[in-house]
Order: sequence, then C-alpha cells, then structure tokens
Amino acid sequence: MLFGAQKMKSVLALAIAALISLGGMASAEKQTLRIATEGAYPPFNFIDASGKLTGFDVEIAHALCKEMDADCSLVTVPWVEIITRLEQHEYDLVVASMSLTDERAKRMEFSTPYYRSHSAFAGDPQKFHDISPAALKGIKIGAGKDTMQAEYLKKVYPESTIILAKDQPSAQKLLTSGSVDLMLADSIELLAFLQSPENSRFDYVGDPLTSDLLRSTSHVTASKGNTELIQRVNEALSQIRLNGTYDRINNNYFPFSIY
Amino acid sequence: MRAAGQLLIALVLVYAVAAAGYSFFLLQRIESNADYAQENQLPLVLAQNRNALKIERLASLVRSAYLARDRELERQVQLQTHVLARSFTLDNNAQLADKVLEVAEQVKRIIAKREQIRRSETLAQTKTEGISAAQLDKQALEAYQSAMHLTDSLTQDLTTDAAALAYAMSGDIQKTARMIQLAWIVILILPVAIAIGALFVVARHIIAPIHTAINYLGSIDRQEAGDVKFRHPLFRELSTIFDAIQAYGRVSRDLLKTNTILHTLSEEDGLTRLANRRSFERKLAEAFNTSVERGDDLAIVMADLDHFKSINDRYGHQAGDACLKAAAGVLSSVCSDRTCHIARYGGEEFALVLPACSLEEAFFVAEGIRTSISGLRIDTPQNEIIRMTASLGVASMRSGVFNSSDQILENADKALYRAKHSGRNNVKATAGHDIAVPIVA
Repeated sequence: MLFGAQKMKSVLALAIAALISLGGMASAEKQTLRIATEGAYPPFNFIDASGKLTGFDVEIAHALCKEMDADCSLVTVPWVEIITRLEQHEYDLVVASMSLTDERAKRMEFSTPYYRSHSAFAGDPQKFHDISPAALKGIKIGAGKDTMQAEYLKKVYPESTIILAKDQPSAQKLLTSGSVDLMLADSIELLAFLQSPENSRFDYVGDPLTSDLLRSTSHVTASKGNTELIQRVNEALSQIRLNGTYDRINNNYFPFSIY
Repeated sequence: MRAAGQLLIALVLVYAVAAAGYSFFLLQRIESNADYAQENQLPLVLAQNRNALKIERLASLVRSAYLARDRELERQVQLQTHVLARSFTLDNNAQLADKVLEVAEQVKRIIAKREQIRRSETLAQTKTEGISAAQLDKQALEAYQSAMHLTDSLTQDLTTDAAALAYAMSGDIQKTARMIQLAWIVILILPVAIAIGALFVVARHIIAPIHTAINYLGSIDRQEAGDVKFRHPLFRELSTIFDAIQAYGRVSRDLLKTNTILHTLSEEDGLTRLANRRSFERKLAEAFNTSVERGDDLAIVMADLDHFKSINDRYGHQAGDACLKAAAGVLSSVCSDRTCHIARYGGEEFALVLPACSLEEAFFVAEGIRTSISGLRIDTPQNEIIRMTASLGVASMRSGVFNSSDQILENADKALYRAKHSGRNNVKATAGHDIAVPIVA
C-alpha cells in the first residue's frame, strides 16, 4: 500500500515535469525572424548618430514582429546584395523600402504595399527646368545601383551619362560634389536630403514625373515560395494600420501620411 | 381528398424550399454587399478620408508659406508641399491631383513673391521691375487666397464623397435587409392566408356535407325523408358516401311504402275493405280497455246476412260479393257520424263495436242496420233484383259481468243466434234484456 502511494507520487511528479517541459517547448517555439534592411536609406533605414539602426522601415519591422508575436533580429545588408542573400536564406524577410518591379517579383514574394511614393529629379533649379530626355542629352545623372530609378534612367535617358552609386548617401555625395548634375531618387527620401541647410542650393527639378515606371509601392519581401510568412506579414500590416501603430510611426518621420 | 392532401404536402414543400431559397439568395446578397463594402468601398472611404487629412495638411502648409516670411522656413514648406502634392498623383484621381498641383503652384508663387520683396528690400529699392512691394504683397495674398479657396473646396468635396460612399454602402445593405424583412412578412402571412382558405374549404366542402349527410340519415331514421336534393360534395370520397346515403334513403322509403301496403293488406278484408277479423279483435280489445279505464259502456253488434248461401247458389259468387259490399256500405254509413269499428267477421258475418254506447242505443243502431239492409236492391247482370235481410245480435258491457271483450262478443253472438232462431230479419239483445222495437212505418 505504502509502496503504491509512493509509486503514485512519482508518476505524478513525472507528469508535472513533462507538462512543464512541454510548456517550455511551447515558449521556445515562439518564432524567431531574421530581418534584413539596408541601413543607408534615410529616413527609411539608417544608422543614427548614436550608432543605432533606426528609421521608418526599422520601426515598421519591429511593429510587424510584435504583431506576429515573433522574436526578431535585424541585420544591415548592402543594397546590392540584399536580394541575393535573401535567396540564400540568410534572413527571412527584407524590410527596406523594396519597390515592386516585374524582375523582382520573379525572385521574391511581396507583401501588400506599406507605403507609396514616386521618384523625382533633384539638382540646381537655376540650371535645369526641362527634364525631357532630349534636354538632358549628355548630362550626368546619378542614381542608386540596382534601383528602379537606375532602370528607368537606362531605359528613358539612354543619351545621358548615368552614374550609379552603391547607396543613396553615395548618390547624394555625387550630386553635392558636382560629379553629377542631377540625381533621380525617391521624392520622400530626397525630401530629407533637400531639407538640410547645406543642400539649400538644390531643389526638385522639372515637372512631376507621372510615368507609371516612377510610381512605386514599397513592400516587405520574403524568399520565393514563402507565401505562408508573407500571409502573416499581410495580416500584421493590416493590424498595425488599424490599431494606429502605423500612423504613429509615420508621424515620427513624415509630415503627412505616406500610405 | 387524398390527391388534395398530397398536393398540399407538395405545395408546403415547394413553398418551404422557395422561401428558404429566396432568403438564402437575399442573405447572400447582403453578404456579397458587405464583402464588396469591405473590399472596395471601405478602402475607398478610407482613402477619401486619408486624402482629406492630406488636404488639411496641405492647407496648413499654404498658411505656413504665407505667414513664414523667412527664407529657410519657406524653403522647407515648399519642399514639403512639393512632395505632398506629388503624392496625390499616385491615386488614380487626375482631377484631384490637378487641383492639388495647382495649390502647390500657388505656394511656389507666394514664396517667389516674398523672395522678390526681400530682394527689393536688400537693394533698398522701392520698385522692382516696375512693381512696388505693396503690389507684390497683394499678389502673394491673391495667390494665398486662391490656394485656400482650392483646398477648402477640395476638403468639402472629399468629405461629401466619403459621406456619399458610406451612405451608398449602408444604403445597399439596408435595402436588401428591408427586402428580407418584407419577404419574411409575406412568407409568414401567406401560410396563414392559405390556412384560413383551407379551413374555409374544409368547412364548406367536408364538414358541411358531412353535416348534411348526418341530418339526412336522421330524417331517414324518423321516416320523414323526402328525396332531399343536396349539393354534391367536391371530394370524390365524400361524394361516394353521399351517393350511398341517398341510395339508402331511397331503399328505406320503398321499404316503408311496401310495409304500409303490407300492413294495410294484413288488417283489411280485400273485398269489402273493412277491417278483417284479426284487426277487429285487436281494436275490440283496445276499445274494451279504454271503456274500462273511462267507466264507459261498450256495445257490440253482430250481423249475419240471412240465407246468403242460397244467394250465392242462385245468382253466383259475383252477385254474392256485390251483396256483401252493399251490406258493408250500410254498416260503414253507421260509422260516418259516430265512433265505431266495423269488420267483416266471417263469410257473411259482420261485427260492429260502438264505444261509449248503451245497449238500448246499440239496439236502435242495429235495428237501423237491419231496416237499411232489408231495403237494399242489388242488380244482377242478368237484370234481376236481389233483396236480402239480416239478423243481428247486440250485447253491451253493462248488460252482464264481463272480464274480457271476448265474453261480450260471445254474448252478442248468442243474441244473434237467438235472432236467427226467432225467424231471422230481426234484432235480439243479450238474454234478459229484450227491447221493444217500435213499429217502423
């Protein structure tokens, strides 16, 4: 009888232990997501003065992680490598103002857009008014490598000299140093550049570019085939749109809604 | 009726399926409306709302541009206005985008005028290119007013559009909901109406005919059935029952008629149509009982035609029958002015019961009968004339002590016997009650 009671106790203890370990396993199963961003695209993603990775994209990435109840780690990856390394599964998601193009759609899964933008030329407004390909013949124009603006320039301005920089800050340096006369970039991104007092001699140049090629939507992307993860990102996106998180982040960086 | 029942079940089934189908259809429409609202209209409303906010932001930039009066600030405002205005070109709303770009142009103008004013101030000139600072300021104000006017109208349009969209959205769903409401009122009222109709049909075509049939059966039972003509029921089953009941009524009536005839035949003498002996004896017993109850007297007269056999032998049976009929006529005439029962008692023998009649009175009645019979003249086919006489015996209840009608009858018979033996063609009463007969002139 005594032995039976002891045996009972030990069985109970075993069961409790099993339950605890199961619980532990469940918490350990909380998904970890590796997210890549460029870190050189202010104000969307950049390293601030204190060396911290921040920006609109970065905050959106954190908000999405919180909504998906996942543990996230962010890494910065040079723009030109960001798609290739996603394909090699170095990380799960890219949150780096990735606009949707036909070529990219073949290589990655795209979420619903999380902001919209368009491109604009920046330069000395005294020198340039007309931005037609004919008027810009032989003019040096800068843009970021592997960007949709670079594609657009190659296609529409074949007779201009196109100089591509590895990232946006480098492209802006090309302009400020006089290596190029004009640069084509995202207008929201350019806003931060133009607003700084030392760049006051530059401005948006020309008529609004309403070409469909320069209207862009930015998306979170995952490696090809990972639709399940993109589905969860979409749900999280609509959640942060509804619960005001998105607007709060938007207002931290821009004076108006960029959705 | 069975066919009607099957039809009813089929109708109910079809109705239920139709009602379910219709509400399913309407509910699905609500669902698709709601889906459409969620997927298309709601984002549209949200976009309108977002644009309205952006226009508000644009208006505040316009105000900032006009009020800034600082080159650095004006530049910031102009850059922001530029990007904000361009962002409207992302929506597929060219009209809106054009107006917004126009606002951005006006902002540019305000800032350009301000720059001109500043330049003229630094050059300490009152006039720049022939235009005074006051004029430039006025132009800046005009640009400002024009921009504000544009943003105001845009805000109004956007809010109205959003409201209209939201209204249309809820209106569609409301309309369908109202249709469901209406449909269900009809769906619920229709069976009630049908049930009322069915009750009417049942009352008129089932209950009413059954009632008629029962009444008719009752009247057959009470033997008062005429051939009632009733409306034929609609349902074949009831109709069959009705035919059966009518047939039963006819058979019953025929039987009643036959019975009456048979009854009469069994009570009557075929030749003289007087009661026969059997019914006479029953009537006599009844009259006897009544008289005992009431304490009345009761007289019986027995009559027998004299030498009737010789009449038969001489003139034949037909002549004999004519004589019997004539005698019966005489007896019947006695009963025409008083209560009495006459019967042909035997071959040529007749009996007469006279309730509430004394022996004397009966004697006089008998005497009258005798006289009438002796006065009869019966023609034969051979143109001969037959004359006959009768002997009669009279008895009454009070002329003796009698326990039954039979005893009175026996007494009357005895009196008749005495009359026969006293030479016939006379009347005798019960022994010891001889009555003097007045001489008939």
